[in-house]
Amino acid sequence: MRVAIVIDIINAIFEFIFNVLNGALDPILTQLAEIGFREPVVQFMLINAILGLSIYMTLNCGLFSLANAGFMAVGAYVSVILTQKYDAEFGLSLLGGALAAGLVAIPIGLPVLRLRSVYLAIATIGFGEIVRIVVLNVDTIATDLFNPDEPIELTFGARGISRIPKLTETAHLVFFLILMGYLLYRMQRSRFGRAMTAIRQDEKVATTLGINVVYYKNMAFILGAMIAGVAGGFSGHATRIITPKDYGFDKAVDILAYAVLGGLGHWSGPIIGGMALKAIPERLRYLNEYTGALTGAVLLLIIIYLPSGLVSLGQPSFWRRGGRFEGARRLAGIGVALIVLTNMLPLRNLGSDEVLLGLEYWHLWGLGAGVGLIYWITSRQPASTGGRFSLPMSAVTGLLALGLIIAGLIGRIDQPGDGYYVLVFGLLLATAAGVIPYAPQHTETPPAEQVEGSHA
Amino acid sequence: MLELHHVSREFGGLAALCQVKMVVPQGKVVGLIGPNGAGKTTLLNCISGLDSPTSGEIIFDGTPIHSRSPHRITALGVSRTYQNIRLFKEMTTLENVIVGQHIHGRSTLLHSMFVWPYHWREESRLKKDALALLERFNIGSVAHVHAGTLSYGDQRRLEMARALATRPRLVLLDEPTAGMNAVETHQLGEQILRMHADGITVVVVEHDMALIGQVCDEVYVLNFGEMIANGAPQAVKQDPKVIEAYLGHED
Repeated sequence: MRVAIVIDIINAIFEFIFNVLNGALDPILTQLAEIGFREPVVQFMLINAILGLSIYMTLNCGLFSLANAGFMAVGAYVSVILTQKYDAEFGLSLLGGALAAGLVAIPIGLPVLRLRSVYLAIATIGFGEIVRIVVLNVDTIATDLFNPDEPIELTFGARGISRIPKLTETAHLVFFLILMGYLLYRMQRSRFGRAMTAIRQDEKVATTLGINVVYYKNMAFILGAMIAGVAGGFSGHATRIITPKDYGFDKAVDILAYAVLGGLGHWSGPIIGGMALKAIPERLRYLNEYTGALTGAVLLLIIIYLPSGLVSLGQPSFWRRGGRFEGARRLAGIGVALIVLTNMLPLRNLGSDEVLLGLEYWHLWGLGAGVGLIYWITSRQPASTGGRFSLPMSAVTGLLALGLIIAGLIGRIDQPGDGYYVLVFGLLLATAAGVIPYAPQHTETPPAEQVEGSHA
Repeated sequence: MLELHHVSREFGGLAALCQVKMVVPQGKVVGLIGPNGAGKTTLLNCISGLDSPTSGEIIFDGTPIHSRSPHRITALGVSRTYQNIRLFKEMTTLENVIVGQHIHGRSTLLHSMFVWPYHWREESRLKKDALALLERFNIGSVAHVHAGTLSYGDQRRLEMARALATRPRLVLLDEPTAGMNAVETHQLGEQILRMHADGITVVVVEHDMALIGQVCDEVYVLNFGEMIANGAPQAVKQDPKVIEAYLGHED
C-alpha cells in the first residue's frame, strides 16, 4: 500500500512538471514549426543533444570511445522490449534501458579502458559491431538453444521491432536534458569532475596525486553508457521502429561528430553540436541528394575555422577585430551569403538522373571536397600544430584520401547519405591523429621538454 | 622512512638501475645527484609507482610499495614533482592545488549533485587550504590565472605547492631548480628547508651543488644505474669516484 502511494505521488510530481514544461514549450514549438523545424525534428535534435552529453562524459575523462552507439542500441532494445512486451511504464523502461547499458559497460570498460586514444576508438568500434551482430542473431540462437519448437522473438533480427508505441514527448526530452545539464554543471565544480579533468589533461600526474584513474575512467564510461541508453530508449519510442543498423558505425561516428562540432571546452558544446547536426541537414533538405555532401562541407569548415567547436562563438575574443578568429568571421559572412544565394538559385531542380561516368554528381561533390580539404589540411599542418603532425600520419591521411577516391569509383558509397559519413569519418580520423586540434590549444609554446622516464 | 634494497630496473637489456641501495631517514633532506642518464628519474619513478623495479624491494614506513599502484602510494604519504613541468594547464592555479587535495576530500558525485551541505563545507575548506598553500609559495596573486600562462618560475613553485597539497610525509623533487637563476634557486632552497622544518622528509634530485650544500643532510651519487657514493655533501664532493663520474679519469 505504502509503495502504491509513493508511486502515485511521484507520478503526480512528474505530471505537474511535464504540464508546466508543455505550457512553456508550446509557443516555442509553434515558432520552430513555422521556420521549418516541426516537432519530430525538434525531438531528434534533443535526442542528439543527449547523445552529445553521453560522449562528452567519456571525452571529458580523456577517453576516445566510440561505444556510445552500441550502448544506445542496448538502451533502445531493452526499453522497447520492456514497454512492448511487459507493458512497463515509459519512465521505468527508460531506467531499465539505462541500467542495462550501464551493466554492459562494466565488463567492457574494465579491459578496454586500458587502451589509449586511437586504439581505444578501434576497440570500442568493435564493441558497437558486436552489439549490432548480437541483436541481429539473438533470436535464432536463443531459439536453437532453448526452444526449437516455438521460435523465440525478442529483437526480430534484421527486420527490427516495429509498431512501438510513440511515448516520447518533447517535454520528457527537455526535462531529461535539463537534469543532465544540471548534473554536468555540478560535476564540473566537484571533486569527481575535477578528478576526471585532471585525468584528461595528464593521467600520470593525476595518478601520483592520489586519483584512482581506473575507477574514474570506468565511472565516466558507465555514466556515458547510461546516458546513451536513455537516449536510445527515447529514440526508439520516437521513431516507432528500431533495427540493428540504426546503431551501427555510422551512428558512432555521428555521435563523436556532435562533440567535435560543438566543442569540448564546455559541457554545453556537445548539446549544441548534436542539435546543429540535426538542424543543418534539415535546413539543407531541399537539396535532396546533395544534402549529405553539403552538410559534410559545412561541418568541415566549422571545424577548421572553429577548432574549439561552436562554443567558441561564445568567447568574447571571437568577436574582437583582428583576433585569431578573423578567418572564421569572414567565413561566417561567406556562409551567410551562400545560404542566401542557394536559396535563390533553383538548385533543387538538379535531379538524380544526371550521371557522369557512372557517378552521380554528389559523388564528385563529396570526393572533391574530401580530397581537396585533406590535401589542404595536410599541406598547412606542420607549422600550426607545433609539431604534433608527423610523417606517418600524413601517410595515413594520404591513404584515406586514396581510399575515398577508390570507394567512390567502385561505387561502394551507394547511398546519398554515405558521402557525408565518409567525409565526417575522414575528418574525425584526422582529428584523432592530431591534425586538427580538438581540445583547446594554448598559443604559448611549452618549454622544450626533456625526455623523461625510461632513459633518465 | 624509505629504504631501497637491491633495486634494479632493466629496460630490455639495458640496466637503468642496478642493485641500488638507499636509506632515507625520517625528517632528513637527502640529495640524489649524478650525471645525465644516471637513472635518477627512473629511481623516482620506481618510488612513486609510475614504474616498478624489475627486482628488489622498496619499503616506505615498513610497507613494501614496489608493486603498489601510484595512487595508493600517494595515499600512504609520498608525493612528487616532475623534471619537465607537468601542470594541468587548462586549470587555474588554484584548481591545480585543489586537485592535489583529492585524497583529502570525501564528497562524491551524489553529494555535489544534491548540493549536500557537506559538499559546500568540504569545498570551502579545500579552497581555504589551497589558498594558504599558494600564499606560502608567493603565488596567491595568480590563484585564478590559467596555469599554462604562468611564468616559468611560478609554474615550478606551483608544482611544489601541488605536491604538498596531498599532505605528504615524503616529497620527491625532480630537479626543482632547472632553468632558475641563482636568486630563485636560493629562495627555493629556503622552501625546501621550510618543508624540512615542518617534518617532511625530502628527496631532491639536483645538479646545482650550491642548492645541495644549502639543504641536504646527506647525498647519494648515482652513475650508470649504480650508487657509487654517499655521505655528507662536502665529503661526497671530494670522493675520487664522484669526480671521475663527472669529469672522467686521467689515463
